[in-house]
Amino acid sequence: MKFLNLRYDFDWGIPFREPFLGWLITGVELTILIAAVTAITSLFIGTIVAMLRCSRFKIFNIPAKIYVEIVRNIPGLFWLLFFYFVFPEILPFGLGDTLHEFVKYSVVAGILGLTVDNSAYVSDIVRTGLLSVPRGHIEAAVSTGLNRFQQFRHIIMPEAFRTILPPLGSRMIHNFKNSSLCMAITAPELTWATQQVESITFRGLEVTFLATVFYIVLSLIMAALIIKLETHFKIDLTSIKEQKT
Amino acid sequence: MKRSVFVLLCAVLLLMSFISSAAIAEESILDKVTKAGVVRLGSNNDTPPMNFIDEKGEWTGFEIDLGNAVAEKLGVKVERVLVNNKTRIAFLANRSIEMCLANISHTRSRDEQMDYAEPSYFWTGKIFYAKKGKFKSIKDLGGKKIGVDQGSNAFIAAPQEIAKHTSKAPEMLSFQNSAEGFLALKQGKIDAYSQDAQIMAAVAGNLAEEYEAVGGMIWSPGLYGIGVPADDSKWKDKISFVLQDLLKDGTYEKIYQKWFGPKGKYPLPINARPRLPKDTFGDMLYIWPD
Repeated sequence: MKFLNLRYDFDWGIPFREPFLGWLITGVELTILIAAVTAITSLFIGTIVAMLRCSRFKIFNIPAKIYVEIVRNIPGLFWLLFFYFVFPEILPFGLGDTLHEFVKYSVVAGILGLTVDNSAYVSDIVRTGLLSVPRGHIEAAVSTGLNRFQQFRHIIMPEAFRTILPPLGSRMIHNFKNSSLCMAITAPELTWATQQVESITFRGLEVTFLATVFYIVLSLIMAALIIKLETHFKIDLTSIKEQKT
Repeated sequence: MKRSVFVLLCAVLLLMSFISSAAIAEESILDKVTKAGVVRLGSNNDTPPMNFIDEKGEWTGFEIDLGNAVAEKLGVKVERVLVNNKTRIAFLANRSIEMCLANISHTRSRDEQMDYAEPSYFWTGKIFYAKKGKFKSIKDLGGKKIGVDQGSNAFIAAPQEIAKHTSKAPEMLSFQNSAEGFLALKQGKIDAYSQDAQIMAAVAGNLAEEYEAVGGMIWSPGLYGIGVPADDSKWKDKISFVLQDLLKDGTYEKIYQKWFGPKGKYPLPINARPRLPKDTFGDMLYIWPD
């Protein structure tokens, strides 16, 4: 008896058959690798761009602003296609040919593209964090005789970090899901693997279902980690008051 | 109250599932299409010269013309549905389309999900396309990077073919369409691209002179058939008869000449028409007698 009139008989053996299982496992590994590497690189570049944007000097803040506006207004997929097809062509000294011939260049291009795409958003998040530090706190730091590096290390960064954490976390989850775009440039990540299985077996629902579960579970794990970090770094104001009295 | 709504909902769902499954069993697609006056025809748009969009933004290609001719003979209008290499079989299997001309080569695994009208309307095959003179034979492709369309059975078949000649396994990459694959071939990202001969020649365009089929040969036959949903022999027969009528009355030949004849848009060195073996039958087309 069937309730839903799905003209589809599920065959749950398919995802666990070779070579499909192998493709899916490689896909999961590559998805995690791409998400992890781009999270680190985009955080690094995003922070630098944010700091440049907060600079008083125009030679720093104008280029940073242009970078953010250009990157943010071009779809992420375009950046992937750019790094895969165009970027090696514009490199000098035959460097491009070396890249072309590199078997795993699709993965490199995917990481470059997602890094650029994500870094613009990260830089904006970091910048709002830096701006959210009350002026009075910085003035207090100056008056206690901290130099600029010490101000940043002891006052601005710890305060900004706490503001940044929640939006940064959700951006990183978004970036993790964006890794699926890499299928367009032949990187054999999880979404590519599901499409590949579908195109060979003509049965896509099973693997797509498993991939969906994987994306949801990993996103939830990431969200839980971020909440854990938030509570860990939370400043308990009541305990500070008690210490004072 | 809530419980009675739930029970009602279950009852309706149950009833619906019975009604619709009963309907599928009885009505042939042929009746449905004739009644509606429209046939949903699956075409892809990135495989010249078979199916593509021209400079004016219109659907064109050999399969577009042939598909339209079939619909005309059936006396119905065409509702074009865009498919790609990954969706074409699935759409036929779940009956989102009634017929599909999208360079579907006849393979056993596909035949389990769908049916083909007979005969196959275009006889071609897969080549390994590479820079002229780079490889002498398929043996040289061992350990090289080979590109295919995602959705092509070559992803598994090509390594198997190469394994017959050498123990070094190739590295396989799959692209979203042949144009991207050819760009990667031009840039040196891959050493060879495996696709049906006439599609590769059309995608390469002016650059076709610089490329060739490795070993000068087709390594896997690609007999294109009109795809129809599985288990509806009335519909499959009708399409087969219509196709053979077009072969008989010269419409097929006219379309073939327009695209692949010596004065056509993409002259073909091979004869891709469905025909019977020459030594026994002379030059007889593949048509069933009445």
